[in-house]
Amino acid sequence: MLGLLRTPLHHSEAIDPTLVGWIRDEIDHLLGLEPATIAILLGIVILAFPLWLAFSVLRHREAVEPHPPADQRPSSRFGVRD
Amino acid sequence: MTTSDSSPSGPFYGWYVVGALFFATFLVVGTRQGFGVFVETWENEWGVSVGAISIAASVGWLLNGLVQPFFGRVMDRIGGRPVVLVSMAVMGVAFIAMAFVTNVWALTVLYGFVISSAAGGISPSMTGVFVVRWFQRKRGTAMSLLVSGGSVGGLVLVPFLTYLFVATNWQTAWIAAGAISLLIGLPLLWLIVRSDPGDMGLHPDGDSNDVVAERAASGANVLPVGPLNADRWQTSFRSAPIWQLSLAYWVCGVTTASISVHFVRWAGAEGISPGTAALAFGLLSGINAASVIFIGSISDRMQRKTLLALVYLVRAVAFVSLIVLPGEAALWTFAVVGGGSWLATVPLTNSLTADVYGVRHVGTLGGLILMAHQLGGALAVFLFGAAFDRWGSYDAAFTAGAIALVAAAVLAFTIREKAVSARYAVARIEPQGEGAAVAAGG
Repeated sequence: MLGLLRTPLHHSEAIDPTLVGWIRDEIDHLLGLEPATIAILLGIVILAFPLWLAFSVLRHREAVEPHPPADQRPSSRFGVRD
Repeated sequence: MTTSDSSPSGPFYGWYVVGALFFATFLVVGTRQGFGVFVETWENEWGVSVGAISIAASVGWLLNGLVQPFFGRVMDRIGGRPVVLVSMAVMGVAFIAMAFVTNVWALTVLYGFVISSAAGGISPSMTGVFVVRWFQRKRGTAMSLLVSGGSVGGLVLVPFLTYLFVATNWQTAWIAAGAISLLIGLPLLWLIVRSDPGDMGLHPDGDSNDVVAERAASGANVLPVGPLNADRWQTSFRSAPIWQLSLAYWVCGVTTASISVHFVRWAGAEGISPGTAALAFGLLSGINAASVIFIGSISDRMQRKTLLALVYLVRAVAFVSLIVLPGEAALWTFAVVGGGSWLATVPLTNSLTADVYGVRHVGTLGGLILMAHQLGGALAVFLFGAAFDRWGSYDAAFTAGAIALVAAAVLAFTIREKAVSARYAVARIEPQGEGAAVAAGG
């Protein structure tokens, strides 16, 4: 049973605690930052991609949405077309 | 052939779908791998053995495989979007609920049953259903990018959870994982992911209406259809390729699960420290992320079965190196050679399944094939352990693994891809109307 906690990194089984410990030691050695700081930095990295993706999709949709010709746009409240 | 892969309005929308599913895979795989980070703490806090905690992991592993055909069937019937949305919502809530677990039984129920089942809805086979509907010519590239999300999740999300755990406590780490899933992952999927390009008035690969109309006018179908494209998924099992793919993928499960579980123990028997073995496995993980993208992209330019056979052969060489090379030489050779083949089977198998059998039942078929992979893995973990206990060495088990991998390579290579894959099918006229477009997707 113990073996099932080792990491295949193939489909999503649990990671090996030894590997986690090694990764942590290496990051600590390289950066020398507080754990909270590293967690915040990694959190920013994690959030950056989905936020960029959502922004890109919204821009994409805006770009491909058909814009009505000027003479078909609704009138302004002064009765003058934009 | 004209496509809108990169138009003035930006890339083909299918790539955004891949991006959103990449992030979902990143979250699911990364968080599930993060389970290992907390084991020691739970062991001390709850006063239970690692063996007891690992029941949750092993139940989850098996259940995750068993639910695949079910999710695949649901995806084939109602589309993938509801499945991934519900799976992400359930997982997000369950991640938060993990923070309130106080004993191993609750852990088994929540992680082993709820999270692992829900994760089945966002497995590579299930998210691959989107890819095969959105892409036909660039299926391998899109599939490999999607699958690499799991590797990146392991490399980024696991350290994030680890440092959050160190800075606060394990409960906060799980709540953060749940919050990211519910507040970022779920809205991202809701905003971007659509089950089929037709839902947005688009065509696979971003082909323009003109190209599709031109093809239809020339008497060809919108997309080519292979000869094994069936109305019922059960019919697929009367043909050879599904058995060849399933058996080969079963061997994939056998060889990846056994190594992942027994690698550190083997290293110990060879006089190698656990830290060095873990480092080698980390190298293997990094190499597989790069290799899967490379292999996936070239699979769109050559026969996928040839690459799949090559991947199994390369892994066989890695297994042989464990038998014939001494200690650390075997370790590093395996990490480099095995890493090149570790994850590449996933996009190749998923793409080939869709190429041969079409997209109509690809969820069900992909789910069944992945179930074979998971069950093979579970069996191998036990058998490799039993072999070591009996002979005090893994040589017999590794030899069996190498032979099985050569057999898998033969199975993959003997798939008559040019005869059965839609990629090589001669354009044929298909009946128009409802279902025709679906049938054409193969």
